[in-house]
Amino acid sequence: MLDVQEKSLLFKIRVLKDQKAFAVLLSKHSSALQRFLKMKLPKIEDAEDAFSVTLYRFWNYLTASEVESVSGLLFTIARSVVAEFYRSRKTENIPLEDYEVAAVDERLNEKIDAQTIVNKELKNLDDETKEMIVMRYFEGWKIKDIAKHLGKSENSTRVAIHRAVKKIRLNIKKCE
Amino acid sequence: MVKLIKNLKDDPAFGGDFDFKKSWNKFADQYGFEKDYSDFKLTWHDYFNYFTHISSKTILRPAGAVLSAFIIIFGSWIATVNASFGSVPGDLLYPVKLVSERMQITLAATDEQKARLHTEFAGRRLKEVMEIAATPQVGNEVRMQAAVDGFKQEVASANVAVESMAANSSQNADSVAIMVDQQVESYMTTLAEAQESSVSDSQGETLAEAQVTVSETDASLTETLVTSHEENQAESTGTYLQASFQKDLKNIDAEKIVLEGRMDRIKNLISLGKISTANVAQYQTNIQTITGQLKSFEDNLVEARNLFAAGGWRRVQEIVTDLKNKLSVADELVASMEIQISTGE
Repeated sequence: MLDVQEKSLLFKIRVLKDQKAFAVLLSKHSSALQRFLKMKLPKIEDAEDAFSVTLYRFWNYLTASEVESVSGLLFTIARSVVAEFYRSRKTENIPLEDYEVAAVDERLNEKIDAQTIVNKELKNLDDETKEMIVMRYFEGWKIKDIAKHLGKSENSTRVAIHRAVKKIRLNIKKCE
Repeated sequence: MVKLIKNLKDDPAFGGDFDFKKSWNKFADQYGFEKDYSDFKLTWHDYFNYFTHISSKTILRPAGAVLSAFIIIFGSWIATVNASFGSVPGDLLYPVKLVSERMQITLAATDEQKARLHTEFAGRRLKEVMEIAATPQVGNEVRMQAAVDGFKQEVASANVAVESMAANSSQNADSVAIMVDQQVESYMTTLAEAQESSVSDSQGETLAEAQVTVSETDASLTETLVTSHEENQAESTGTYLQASFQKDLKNIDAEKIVLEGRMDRIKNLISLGKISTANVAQYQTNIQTITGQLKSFEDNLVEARNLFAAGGWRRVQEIVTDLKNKLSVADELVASMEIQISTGE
């Protein structure tokens, strides 16, 4: 549900085409969006380009129609931008070193402690579970919002997060 | 465990180290948006605009839609009710007319309003009776019976409402009783006209029933007015009763003269030997009886006029009612003799 402040911002954007209101609205949602794009795309530059494209499409939508869920729409647009990115690069071979994740992974592997294991385990999670963990613990989203965002039931989302955390904990114990 | 996970929040591998301002500036450069938004603040005016917009959307628009629907439905209902005004029993729209009248009665808040409405509706029923009598067609007996039943019911209901007003010492009880009584008297005239134009015996009988009801109601209303005048001595009721009884006494006098004339014609026929000898004795007895009664009329009328002058309204009413009843009986007797003579029985 949108709060009154967010609804007032949306109203200003739609009726007055207020770009500053748009910036204020985005400042609340862009952290999760950026994280999503960075996790989905191979390079930071790609994520930043996708971010700009997403914002522009989001602006066009907001100035033309009324919106019920800001984050829902934002991530829907972001997913389509990511999909377009991969469609356009389908024929290209993406060098392995392009993936920031891999580079960081290697860097982090240098010190083997609990934090390193957590880091490694998180990266080894499948994309969807990783997204759940990121939304839950990095962005502080509620389970029901994550479930809605991923098109899952609340229960299955809760169980998936619980299992992932449990798996990481077990691996830490094993290493100890 | 959760803390260890959260420690990775700003890790670039998980999309951390995000700087919105930097990203916004890049976006603003690319698409020509304003870079600096730091001075932006939502004001009360913004909230007010938003709530005005919401209220127009959530309240005014639905209310407008409901109002439009109401206007359409209500307008259709009004049109149907208007169309039903000219209907008579047996017509398709007649029930609509009755339902709209019932609704009006239900919505009437006071006995005064009810009395006025019932009187008006009684007038409508009577109009229906006249229309049915004027347009002979199959099933008219049933239609007229329905209209007359409705008329009787409305007249009785009007009387009940007036009695209720009088019992509650309502301020306008007298004026409403006078209004209803005047209407009822006009109904008597109309019913008499309808009876003359009625095409069948059964219709005549139906109308006669209505006349009885009207007479009873008239008597009851007069009784109500007399009681009220005795209690309040109001000028309005005194003036009305005076005029009403004067008229009654004049009518009784006139009807008595007419009746005597009709009996003189029968006596003349007897003296001319034009009446069957088998009936002569019976006719003479009847005439003698009626003449005897009519003789006492003179004394009664004198007494009534004296009481009238002294303001003894209740006694005047009793005398008038008694004389009317006697006239009615005498009229029936004379009428039966006239019928026998005309049919040669």
